[in-house]
Amino acid sequence: MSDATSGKGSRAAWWRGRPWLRDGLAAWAVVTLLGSMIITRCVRLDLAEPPAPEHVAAAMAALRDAAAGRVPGDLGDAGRAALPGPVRVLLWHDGLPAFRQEFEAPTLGELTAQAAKALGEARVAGRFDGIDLEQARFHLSFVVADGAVLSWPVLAASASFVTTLDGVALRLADSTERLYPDDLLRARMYSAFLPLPGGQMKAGLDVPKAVESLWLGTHLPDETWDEQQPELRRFRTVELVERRGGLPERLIAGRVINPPPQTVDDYRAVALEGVRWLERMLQPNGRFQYDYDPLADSPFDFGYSLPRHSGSAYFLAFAHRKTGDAVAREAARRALDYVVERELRSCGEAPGRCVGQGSVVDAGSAALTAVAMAEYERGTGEGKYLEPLRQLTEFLCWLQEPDGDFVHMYDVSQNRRFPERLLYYSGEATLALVEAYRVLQDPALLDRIRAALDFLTTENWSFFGSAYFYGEEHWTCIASYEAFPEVQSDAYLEFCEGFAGFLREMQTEEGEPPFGYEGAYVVTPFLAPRTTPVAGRTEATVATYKLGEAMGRPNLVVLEQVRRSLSFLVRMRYAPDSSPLFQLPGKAAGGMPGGFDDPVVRIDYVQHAGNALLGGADVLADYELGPP
Amino acid sequence: MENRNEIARNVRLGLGTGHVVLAIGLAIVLLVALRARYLPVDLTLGLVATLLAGSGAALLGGLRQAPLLARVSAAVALVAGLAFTTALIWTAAYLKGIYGDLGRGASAFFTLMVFTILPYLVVYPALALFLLRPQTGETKAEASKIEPPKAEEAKEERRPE
Repeated sequence: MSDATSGKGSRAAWWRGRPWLRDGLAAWAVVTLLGSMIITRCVRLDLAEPPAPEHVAAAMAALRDAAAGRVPGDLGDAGRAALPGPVRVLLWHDGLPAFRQEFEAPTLGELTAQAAKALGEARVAGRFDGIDLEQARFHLSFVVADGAVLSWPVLAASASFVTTLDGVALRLADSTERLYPDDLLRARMYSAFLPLPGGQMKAGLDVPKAVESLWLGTHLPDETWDEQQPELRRFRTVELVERRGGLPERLIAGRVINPPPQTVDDYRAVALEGVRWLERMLQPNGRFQYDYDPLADSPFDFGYSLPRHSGSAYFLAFAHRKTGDAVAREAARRALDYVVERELRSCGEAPGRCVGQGSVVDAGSAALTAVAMAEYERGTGEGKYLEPLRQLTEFLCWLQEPDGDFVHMYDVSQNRRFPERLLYYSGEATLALVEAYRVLQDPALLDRIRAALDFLTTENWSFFGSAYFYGEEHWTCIASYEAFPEVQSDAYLEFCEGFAGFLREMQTEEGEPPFGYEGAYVVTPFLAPRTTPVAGRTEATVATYKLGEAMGRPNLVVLEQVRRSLSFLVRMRYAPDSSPLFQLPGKAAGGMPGGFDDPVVRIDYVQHAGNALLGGADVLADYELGPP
Repeated sequence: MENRNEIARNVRLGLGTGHVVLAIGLAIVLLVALRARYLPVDLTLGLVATLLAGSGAALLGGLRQAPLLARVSAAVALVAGLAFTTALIWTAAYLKGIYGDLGRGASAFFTLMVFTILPYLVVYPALALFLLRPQTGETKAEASKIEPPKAEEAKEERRPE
């Protein structure tokens, strides 16, 4: 026997002599794989069918009769519709629940009987006094599935609820307490547990707060906690809200999601609704109300951002240039006048003028103000802002470094140029120079624009690993397109198409769980999709497609990417009556919420979405809007 | 060729170095990469790192009990590695059940984690266990065949003249 044969034999003998090792590894593999299948099966929710909308409409009509003191009409066939689980009946009035009760009933008819009785008692008790029942809307939440979740460790529990879709239940020995998705949304318990890098956002359900709230709702003494054998569970609902003259509408995350766009005119219409919303947010002095919380009918964050102010003015001016809308023009003028009168200032030893109070000013405020002024001039030719535009451009040129990049912060009192770099500002400053060139036609700007774009698309993004990810480059790509044809390079298009390709990896397809809407950019389903990343990135993909088209290389994959994201934005914007949870739904109309878990509308959410929609209307035709 | 405690010198030095390097790597993961303190993970990683460091040093120092220690530490590392792999797969299965889909980002994360753990806490300990397997009569004879000149030289050295 050769040595090799002998070696193989000895190894085989060693393996054969240890059946426990072989069996142990096989057992591990089986347990791991079978276990994973069992776990998935145990926590997956099998959604039952709720009653048909027309049956629910009949039930709501009967409930309305009961609330008004009339005898509820016969439900007919609807009464025999089976219910998959408990049902919560709500009566919303001015964004507040005038009636709320949960019922367990086998059929819709039985539910209606129980709820009508309770409504009658509430009416007799005077709970509907002072309420305009004609304006109130019934809302039925059908529990269509529930399932167990891990309650420990808390981190696992917090990740066990799909944001804005799952409710949380505490099953006790005597009862089950539930917080429905809109309860959790209103109490801001979604996306509220685990701080994410950057410090601005959190992920996961605030389970400790939810459990405390559920337990307090039982009114049981704390000593009975163990006796009650509490079990944390999640449940899924189908939420239907009454609609006058039609079938009930489905609520997702406490609001109606719009149908997808049918024509590019829908894009323009939605963008112009955004113009109207921003115009309503303009205060007499030309400053915007920074944001609006429709759940509370009040501002949410009392801070302010000048770059976002000027960005909003840019959108208004852009909307006027694209559509000729007079409201947009006037609102843009008022917003720009505010900057000129209140924020434009001399900058110590720096040439030109800058924007902002205090000793430290930033490039972003000056850049976006210049962009907005240039856009206004491109659309109107008034010449009103030519001089401040020249001054701002002078300041931005002074901020430019020899490598093409820009200083982002400048201390006016100490004449100090800070070395720190902030997100967005280099791209914004580059776009400012491009837009200024379009209006001022100063050829000296072209070399500066070329230096800035060369830096942003090559030198700034050439390091080990730079092929695998990108930063937020929407301003860079908008500037690359706007600079064409005077300043052009294959590198700009390659960079922006690389950025678009990177984004496509994160883009959702229609029907993709858990939310099912195409066009959102999500890294993981733990985080609910947000609108502004979609909008800002779509500005970039629109510019990328336009640049490719201008260079003779239109990329239809990018065009489809644009279509998907614009569909998402159209679906997400607030319509005139988006939610019974809003005190004044009309005030939210035209606004763009932050996302499923963030009902607040902020000026820059509307700005980015509006710019993306108007840009997308340029490149998409009606026949391209349907999913492929 | 030096062959203390029935393992070849290059195996002893290779595995000794491997154990120490892996122990240092695990300690860095525990102390630097994982900022949050979580007892099941901290305890397991700490125990495995300590055992690997101790047994690696013993192998490098040529201690008599070093192969036994190295086998124990490799076995503990293998069990921990398999347990972590199972935990990761079950976590992914749980989240898939909750969300319906993990999404590309989370899928990439779990894949990366599994393939990061496999080479260090499954493949390497399994290889170490195989190389450190106790010598049977057959394998001892095989070992003697591999080094015939030294064996003969040794006999000649012991032959009384």
